[in-house]
Amino acid sequence: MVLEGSEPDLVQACRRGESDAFRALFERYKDKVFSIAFRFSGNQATAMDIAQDTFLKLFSTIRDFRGDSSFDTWIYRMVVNSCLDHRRRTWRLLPLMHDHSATLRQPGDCLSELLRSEMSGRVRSAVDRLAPDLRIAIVLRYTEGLSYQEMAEVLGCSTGTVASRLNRAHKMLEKRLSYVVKENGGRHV
Amino acid sequence: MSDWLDLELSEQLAPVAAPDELWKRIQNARTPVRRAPRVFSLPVAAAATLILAGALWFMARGQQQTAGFRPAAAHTECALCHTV
Repeated sequence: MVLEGSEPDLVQACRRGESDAFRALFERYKDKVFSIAFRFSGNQATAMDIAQDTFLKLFSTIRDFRGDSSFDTWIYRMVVNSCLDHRRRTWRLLPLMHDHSATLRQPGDCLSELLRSEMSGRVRSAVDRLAPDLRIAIVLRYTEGLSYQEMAEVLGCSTGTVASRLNRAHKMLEKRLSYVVKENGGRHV
Repeated sequence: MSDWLDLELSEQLAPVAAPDELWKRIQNARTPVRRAPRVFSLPVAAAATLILAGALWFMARGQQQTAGFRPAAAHTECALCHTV
């Protein structure tokens, strides 16, 4: 049965236009694609748009998949491109909207939750303010746990570039978030 | 890199589950635009071509007929109208 088939079988079935195979492929990759989109954009609605774009692109171009790289790498590349394309289209509008919506959504039940939420919001905001190429590197590393080699394949650059981007991103995040740690007496909430 | 940052990033950027409505959205977006079947579009195209050809033929015929009427020669007109 296609739904339980191996990945190459699924890809072949998708190439033949079998709708069950498309559904099975979607089920297999939906969380990965959505997670990257959500962690990159920081917004559920935007993540839905990005995930939708990615799957539509995937289904329409699956015939072009030649198997030169692994299917995982191919789909990661697709979602990364969708994220960066979306970012280019919306430019600087979203971070402003995120800041306001995050402030409005602050829960105020108890102190620890508030502190946790505060830290979470600040980390989120610090990640949002990273340049897209640095942010996508951070997302692939922490959301998907990709190795430097895998990231290099997905991003189309060398492992050295990946290491450099991650290093720069870490330094920026550390700088931006160090005051939060100081405020909390040097411990993380 | 600090351990706290590594821990925070792992926690804050953890994977999430895709909402159920994502598949519905994709299905709706994939629904192809309804097109008239080719069986019907061929006769329509043939009829349109015939009508166009007929219209052109009538226009050409009308031009030929008007081209048949030649005004009287200038000197004849003068002789008829300007004789005192």
